[in-house]
Amino acid sequence: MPTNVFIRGASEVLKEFPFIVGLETVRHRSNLLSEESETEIQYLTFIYICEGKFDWEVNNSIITLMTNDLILMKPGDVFSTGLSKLEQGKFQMLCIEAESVEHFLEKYSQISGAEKTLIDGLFKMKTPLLIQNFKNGKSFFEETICEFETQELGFKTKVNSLIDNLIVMIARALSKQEMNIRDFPTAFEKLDLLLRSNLSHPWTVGEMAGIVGLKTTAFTEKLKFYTGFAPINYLINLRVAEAMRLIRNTDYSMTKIAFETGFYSSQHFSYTFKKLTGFSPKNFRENG
Amino acid sequence: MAKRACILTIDIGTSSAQIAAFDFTGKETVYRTGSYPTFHPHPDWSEQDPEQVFITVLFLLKGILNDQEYTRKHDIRAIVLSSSMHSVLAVDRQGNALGNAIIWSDNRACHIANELKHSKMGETIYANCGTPIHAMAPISKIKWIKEQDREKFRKAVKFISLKEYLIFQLTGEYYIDYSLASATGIFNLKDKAWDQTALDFLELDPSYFSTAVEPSFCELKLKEPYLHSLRLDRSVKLIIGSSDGCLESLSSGSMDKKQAVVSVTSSGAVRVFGESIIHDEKGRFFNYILKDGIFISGGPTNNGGVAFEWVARGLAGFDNDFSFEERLMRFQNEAAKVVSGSEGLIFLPYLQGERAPIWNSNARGTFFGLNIIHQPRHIMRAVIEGVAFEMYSIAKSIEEHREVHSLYLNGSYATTPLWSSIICNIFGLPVKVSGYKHSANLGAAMLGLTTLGIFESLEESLTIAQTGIERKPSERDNEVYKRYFSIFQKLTDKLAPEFDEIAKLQNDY
Repeated sequence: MPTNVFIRGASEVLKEFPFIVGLETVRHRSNLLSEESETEIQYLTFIYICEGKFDWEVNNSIITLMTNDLILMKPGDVFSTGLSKLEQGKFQMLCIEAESVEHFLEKYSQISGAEKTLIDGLFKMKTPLLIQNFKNGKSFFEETICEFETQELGFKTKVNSLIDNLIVMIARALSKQEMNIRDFPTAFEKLDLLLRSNLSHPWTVGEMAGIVGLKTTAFTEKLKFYTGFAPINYLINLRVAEAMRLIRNTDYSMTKIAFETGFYSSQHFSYTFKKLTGFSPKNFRENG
Repeated sequence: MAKRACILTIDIGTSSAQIAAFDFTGKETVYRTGSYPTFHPHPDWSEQDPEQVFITVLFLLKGILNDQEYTRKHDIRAIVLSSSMHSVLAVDRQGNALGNAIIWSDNRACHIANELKHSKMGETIYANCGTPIHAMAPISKIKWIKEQDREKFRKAVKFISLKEYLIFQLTGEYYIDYSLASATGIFNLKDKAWDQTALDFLELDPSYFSTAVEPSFCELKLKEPYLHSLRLDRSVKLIIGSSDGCLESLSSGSMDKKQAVVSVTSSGAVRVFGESIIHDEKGRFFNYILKDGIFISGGPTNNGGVAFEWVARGLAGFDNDFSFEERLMRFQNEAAKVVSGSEGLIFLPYLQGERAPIWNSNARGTFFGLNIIHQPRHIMRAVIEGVAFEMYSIAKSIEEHREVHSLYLNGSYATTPLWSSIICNIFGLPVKVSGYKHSANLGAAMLGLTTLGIFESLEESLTIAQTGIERKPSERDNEVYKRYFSIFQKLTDKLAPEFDEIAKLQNDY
C-alpha cells in the first residue's frame, strides 16, 4: 500500500471538505519521530493502527496501541511518542477541524437530532478514547482514500457519509465497551443517567437495550428482574417524577413540561400523569 | 365468596421499594418491588431522587390496588410504612423538595461528625439521643447543609426523611414515627421530643422537624385524589409504622433479650431487644425506639455482602461466561470447597471504612496471610469469613453490656447456607435462619395487625413469624475460628495508624 498524504492546502481534493485538515498514512519507526516529542493536539484526531504496536502517552497516561486499535484525541490533549525505542509500524490519521465530536456533529454531520444526542452522550463518557480491536477503522481509511483518489461521481456525499459512519461505529463500540453486559447493574446505572439527561428523547425499548448491549427481550427480562419494572414503565416513572418537579418548581406551561419530559402531546402527558397520581397536572400545581 | 382481609406494607429500602400484603395469619398474598438508583455526584456522596421514590411507590401501589384479579379476592384494611433510616431531605415552605435526599451511606459529613463526636456537646447528644455521632446521622448531614449549602439551608423550612416526604405527598402533613426519629441523632429518647442540645448544635427550633408519634399512629388521612386513584376506602387505615431495622428485628418472632438478630444484606447489623438503651461510653451503639419501653440496640457495619460482590466483580476474569448473579452463586460454591479459616487467609472487610464497632472511616480492606497455595476460592471464602468476623466483633462489643445466647439470621446473604453456617460456627451459638425474605414488610405487618387489634400485643403478633432452618455450631470449627478471630481483632487494632496513613494518601491522590 502506498503512503497516502492528503493535507489541507497541498491537496486539491480537500477543498471539497473544508473541515478536514488532513488524512494520512504514516509509516513509523521510533527514530523517525523526534525523541520524546510532546505535542499539543490541535484538531479532532482519529488514529488507527494498521500494523505494529505503539506505546504513546496521552494526557500523562501511557497507552499501548496494538494493530486495529483506534484512538480519538481532541484539541488540548497532550500527546507524546518516543517512550519506546523499538516501536515500528504503520498508522492512519484523520484530523478534523472541530473541538470535539459534539462540535463536529453540530456543524458538519448529517446525524440527526435524537441520534445525535445519544451519540454525544457516549462520547462524553471519557477522553482520550481508546477503542480496542476496531476493525471498522481499516475499511474507513481504505474506502476514504480510494474516494479521494478516484473522485468518482458522488464522492463528496460518500466521504461525508463514511465519516458519519465512522462516528456511529465508534459510538457502538464505545457503548459495548462501557456497558459490560455481564454486569447489568452497573450498565443500567449508566443507562439510567443517560435517560435522565435525555428525557425528551422519544426512547424506544430497542434503543435502551442497544445502549446496554442487549437484545430487546433479554433487556426487558433483566430490567424486570433488577428493577421490578418493564422498560417503558421505568421510563414513565422517570418522566412523571421529573414532571412533578417541574410543575412544582417552575412556572412552565403544561405543554412545555410535557415536551421536556418526553410526552408526545399534552393530552398524553395529562392522561398518564392523572392515571398515576390521581391529579391532573394543573390540579397538581394548585393542590398537590 | 368473602374477601380475605389483608394488611399492606410498604418498605422504602435503600435501593428499592418493596410492597407486600399479608393476610391476618401472616401469609403473603402479594409482593411487588421497584427499584430506584442511588446517585454519587462525588465519590463519598449518596443521594436519591425523592420524586422518583414517591412515584415508584405510587406505581407499585396502583399496580396492586387496581389489579382486579387481586382486589376481587382480597380486602386491604390498612397500610403500614417502613423505611430505611437516616435519609435527609430539605423542603421549602410549599413542601417542595430542595434537591435530592441524602441517604444513610453518604459520607460527606464525616468531618463534622468527627468533630462533634469528640466534643462535650457530642457526648451529651449521644447520651440523650442514642444514635452514634457519625456521618450517617441526620444531625451531621443537616449541619453539613447549614455550613456548605447555605442557599438550601436558608430556603428550608423542614428537614425530613424520604418516608416523611412520602407521607407528606400522600396526606399533606408532616409526621415521623419514634423509631425513625430516634435514628436522627436529634431526638431525645427519654422525653420523646426533639432534643434541645441537638437543636442548639444545629441552631434550629423544633418547627424544622415533623411531629413525632408512636409507630402505631393511624390518624393519617390520604388526599382525596389518591384515595380515588388507588381505589381505597376512607376506612382503610394508614399506619405510620417504624424503621426497617426495628421491624426486621421484630420479624425474628422473638423479643428475647438474649437473642441477637444478625442481618447481612449489602451492609449488615447486629441488633438486640431491650427495655432500656445501651449507655456506651465509647458511643458505639445505636438505640432506636420500637415502642414505649422497647428499644432495639446494636451496631451497623458498612461492609456486608457488598464485600462479596466486590470480590466477585474483581475476580470476574475467573469465570467470565456468567452473568453477575450466576457468578455470585458459583463463587459461593467455590468458597464452600475451602475449609474453615481459608487455610490461613484473613480478610479485614473495611472496604468502605467501618462503622460498628471501630467507627473508623479511615479503615481499609486488608488480606493477611496470603501464601502461594491460595487460590481465588480461598479469597472468596476469606471475604465471607471476614464479614462474619466483623459481625462477631460487633456482637462481642454488645456483650460488654448484654448477654447473647442465640442468633437469628436474616438478609439476603446471612440466610444462604454457606453464610449461615460460617456465622453459626464463628459465633459458636445456635442460630435460627429466617424463612421469609421480606423481613421489614413482615415486621410491619406484625405492628399493623397489632394496631388493628387483631393481636392484643406485639408479643402476640410474633406468632406469625416464619422461621426456616435451625443450625447448631460445630465445636471443632468454632475452635479454629476463635484462633483466627484473635488475629482478626489484633490486626484491626494494630493497623489503626496505617489505616489513617493510607486513607490520607488515597484522599490526596
